[in-house]
Amino acid sequence: MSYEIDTMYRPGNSFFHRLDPRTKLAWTLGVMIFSFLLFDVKVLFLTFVVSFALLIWSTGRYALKSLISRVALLIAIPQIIVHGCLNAVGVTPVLFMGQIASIPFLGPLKWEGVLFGLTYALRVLGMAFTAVLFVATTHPRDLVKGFEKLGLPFKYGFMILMSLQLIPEAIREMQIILDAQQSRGMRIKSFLERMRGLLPVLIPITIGSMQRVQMMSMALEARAYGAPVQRTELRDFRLHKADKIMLCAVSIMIVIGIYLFLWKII
Amino acid sequence: MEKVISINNLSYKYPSTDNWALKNINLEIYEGEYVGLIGPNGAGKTTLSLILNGLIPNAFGGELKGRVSVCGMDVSEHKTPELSQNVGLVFSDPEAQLSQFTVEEEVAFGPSNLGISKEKILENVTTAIRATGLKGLEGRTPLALSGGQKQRVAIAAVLAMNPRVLVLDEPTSNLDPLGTCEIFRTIKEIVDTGSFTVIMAEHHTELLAEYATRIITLNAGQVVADGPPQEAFARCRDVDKMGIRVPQVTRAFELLDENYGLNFGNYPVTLKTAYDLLSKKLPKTSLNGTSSNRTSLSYMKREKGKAVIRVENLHYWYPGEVHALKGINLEVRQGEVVAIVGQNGSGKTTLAKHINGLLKPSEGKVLVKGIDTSNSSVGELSRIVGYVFQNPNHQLFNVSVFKEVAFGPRNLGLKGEELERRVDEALNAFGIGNLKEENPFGLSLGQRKLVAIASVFSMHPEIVILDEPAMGQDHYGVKRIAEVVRALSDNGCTVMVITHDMSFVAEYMERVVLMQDGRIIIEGQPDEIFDMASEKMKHYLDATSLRAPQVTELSYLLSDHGFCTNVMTPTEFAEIAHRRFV
Repeated sequence: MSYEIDTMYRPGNSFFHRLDPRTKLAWTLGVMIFSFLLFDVKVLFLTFVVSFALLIWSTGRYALKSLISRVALLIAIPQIIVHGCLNAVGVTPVLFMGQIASIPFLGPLKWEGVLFGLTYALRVLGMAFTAVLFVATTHPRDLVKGFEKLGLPFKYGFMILMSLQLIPEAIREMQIILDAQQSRGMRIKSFLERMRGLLPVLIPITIGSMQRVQMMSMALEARAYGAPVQRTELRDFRLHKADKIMLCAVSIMIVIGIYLFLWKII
Repeated sequence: MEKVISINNLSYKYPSTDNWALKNINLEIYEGEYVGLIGPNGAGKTTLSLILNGLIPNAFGGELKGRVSVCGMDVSEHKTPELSQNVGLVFSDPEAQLSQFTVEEEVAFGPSNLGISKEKILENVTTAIRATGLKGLEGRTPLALSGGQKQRVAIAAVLAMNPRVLVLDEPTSNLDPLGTCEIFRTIKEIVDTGSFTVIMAEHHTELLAEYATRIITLNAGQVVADGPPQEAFARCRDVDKMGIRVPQVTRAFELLDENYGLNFGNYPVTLKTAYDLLSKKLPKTSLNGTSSNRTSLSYMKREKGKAVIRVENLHYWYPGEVHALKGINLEVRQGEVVAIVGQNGSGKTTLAKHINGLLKPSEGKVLVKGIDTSNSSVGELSRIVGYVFQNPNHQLFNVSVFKEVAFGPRNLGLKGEELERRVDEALNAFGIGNLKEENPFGLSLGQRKLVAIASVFSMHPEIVILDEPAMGQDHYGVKRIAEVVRALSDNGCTVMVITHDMSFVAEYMERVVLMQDGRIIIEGQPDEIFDMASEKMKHYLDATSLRAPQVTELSYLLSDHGFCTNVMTPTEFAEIAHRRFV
């Protein structure tokens, strides 16, 4: 039985963990903008290497275990082959041990297509690793606090965090109800049986959640939630030296990106 | 002493109901008092608690007459967040009160909302965490703590707001005996600091009698008694009739008075006063009186059949490698009434879920009537084993009691007249035939529990497992569960009850299985298990933090004065005491 909320956050104390959530958000957005502005294999290879290195540095083995990383790899790698064979930019065939490399059903691979696919894959992976870096090093609470610092009302932030707490609770409750109804002979093997089993599970869980939410709102009010005064934030974030350096880096990166993009240097 | 709460002619009616939930209440509560609020379910304890911090009428609406003022603030003129600086309210469900990621943040949540300075908040949090004994747990996730710890976090969370009054609405009703003790100990320490007034609604009257300085009895929305604990339980019979559990020692003295005409003035209400009284009156002796009055419930005399449940060297690992059961061996014979006891997390429910196949052994075997549960589904086993879950709300979903009770037999393929007959029979077995057409959600908690039991019994199981049947129920509800056990047994069922209520076990169970940390550490008849004269049993009770029933403890203390040490009920105690006096 797990009581910890299963988010993608991986506790740690790396350089990135210690950054202000706003800095991390800026970094993430910066890399995204940069990757979208420039479609060049050298530049995107660089962002890929940097973001992957940062991720490994901050989260270790989780870098490749994260669901986002895996999905991104699953999307990215086939791009090379698909574009290599089918993209119309391709003219020069790829030679493999003197023979033209060819993929069954898709036809011969072409250099220009492969390059295009590779660039595309690097863009996807660079952005995905940066996103993983953000969520894996930022506790959901800090993430929301970061957004609150940027103007999100406390009420909405609190709502997001509460639902994070309620989901595992609801899943646990559902398991109990499912057990209870199965103990009364309810079967859930076939599709039809599962359909028939919906009501006996959904009704108790709905009523239970409503009662729980009512209880919670009473408990919150009893602790002065919604008092008409300015809340004191205990975990206040301030931009430290590292944050400022990172923010400078992000700005420079975006400026360079825009410069290269506008003057079509690449 | 300063008056902190004053209630004048208070009456209250919930919106869209016709009955007054509270009727003409007048109370004055002074600084430093420890007030126990007792009464059956539905007496108005929760309503009164919610009024004290203004949730009623501010959040609920309804009609409030009279005047309630807390620390000089009128509750109908101030909002809850404001009142919460004077009144801290703790609810019975620990989980519903927790919303933060760490204990420290949880405790700081309230004062942060008040907008006081950061230094002051941190100071309050430290004090509150120390007062509730949570030091060292500051960084933990509240939801991962034990029940008692969670509830202490909830208490710390309101203490950190520096209230003058602490109101607790059945804070222990979702806890195991260990958690219950923790809460009573914590509250005692808080009261002893002298700067708080505590009002605590509770069903554990034996503990309240020991700790509280004043007890207010509510029944049907009215204050029917108000005074020191001795007065509250003085007229046991009336208190018992209201559905409030009388401390066992008080009950024993009442029986001495009524059945044998022995009266020693006011009935004692705590173990200590009862002991002082009797040890002074009775000379020491080496004789050991035994009783002929051992509870002889009909089912205990019945011949037991063959083994219907056989558990052999059962191990179970939850996913994530939690070793929940560590080599369980157990045999239950047909017709037995067995209790499984132990603190939360000792593996009681995990074991029970193996018997109806909800869980399959990781190692070892579970045989139910010779059927290996590893090879059969829950559906198949549900013909033999009925499992009543702790919370009836997890089971009920139909619009009428009839449909609810028919759900199980229908899953077994029953139809028409046969089905109807089954349902009627089940409803009548538990005396709820009159509720057949009612909507289960409109019923009281106790009635819903009975419907849930009937809905399992209607499948004609040979074995019935009741998981915490008395949880959240008042004394009346507990007595009803005893009736259910008798009815099940009379109908030929083998009954297994998972429970935390030791006096219930002592009085109604034939055999006790004591579990700790995934193992059965001892099993035997209640009078063997609770016999504290035996070093071995005393060790097991201490190790599991379980306490024998109050009269059992009393007779153990009086063993130098001619009492046997395995007295199980007040009736038995009264008989032995009487013979010592003749």
